[in-house]
Amino acid sequence: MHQQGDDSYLAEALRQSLVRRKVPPSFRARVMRVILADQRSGGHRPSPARFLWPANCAAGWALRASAAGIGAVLLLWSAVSLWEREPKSEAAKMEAAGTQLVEVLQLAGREWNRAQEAALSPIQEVINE
Amino acid sequence: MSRSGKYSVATGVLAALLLVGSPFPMQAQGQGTEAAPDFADLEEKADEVVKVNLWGRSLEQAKRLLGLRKNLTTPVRTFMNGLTAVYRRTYRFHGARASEEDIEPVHRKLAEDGWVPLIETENRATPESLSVYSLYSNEQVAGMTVVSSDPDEITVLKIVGPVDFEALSAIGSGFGLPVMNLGSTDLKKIKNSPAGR
Repeated sequence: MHQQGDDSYLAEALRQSLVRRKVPPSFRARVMRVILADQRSGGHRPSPARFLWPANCAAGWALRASAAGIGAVLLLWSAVSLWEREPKSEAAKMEAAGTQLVEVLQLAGREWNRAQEAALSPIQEVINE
Repeated sequence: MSRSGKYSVATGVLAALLLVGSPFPMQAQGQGTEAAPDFADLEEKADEVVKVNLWGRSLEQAKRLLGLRKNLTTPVRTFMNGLTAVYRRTYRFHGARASEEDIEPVHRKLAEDGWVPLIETENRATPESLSVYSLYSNEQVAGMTVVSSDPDEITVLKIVGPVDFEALSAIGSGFGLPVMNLGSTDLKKIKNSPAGR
């Protein structure tokens, strides 16, 4: 009861404060309605958030834990798949580069030999004559 | 290609002594996309274009991979390790054939960049041509470019770095370089070997 007396005193003080500050009567009435309704319910109006989000109850914690677990598994899976993919693509690039280098050098070598033969063949013909 | 003299040797230039120490444009011996032998007109006309660009990391990776092969001869290994860039451009023509006008800008560009013709051969009957250019820096061969052409195909091969012609000749004859049939063992070795071997 002592608590209720305090609430009434505070409600009256608030009303007088609103009057002093020239708060429009309609808004003042709404504020007072809310205060009085709260006073009537014994000051135990349930917080809407408590029912909208079950985080404060056991189910909420279980849900949070499951979400965190799934997130961790997904993170680990992506990390592992990226780690596996990177060396494979690197090895493929390396192999392609090696093959290309051999091909170009072999082609250049063949053309160099062909050019030498072509350059030397007239001289060889003269020697043979 | 027969040796019977079909080829007329237009120039057999051994100009190294004349050109020792002569200045030449730096981009000609460079690496990267700017040094790549690209010819826009040829690319537009060709039905098929093959491009190989090996420099920097890709070339280092290729050298490391080949360096693992035991049947690599020492001269070839040394030659290969000295390379700083390797390029290939092949332009293939299925419909319109390549003409002398198409190949002329290639030779002109190489001359502008300081490349010196070492051997130039031409078979006017076929017609086919084959030219080998070299680049000199501080009395050393710092690169070579091969340009070969026939009506169906024009190929430009550019090798930047000290060129060992003996090693190159061995490679062309099928010696010195392994056939590329790399297995997972080689790749594992690369993975485990320290960088820059």
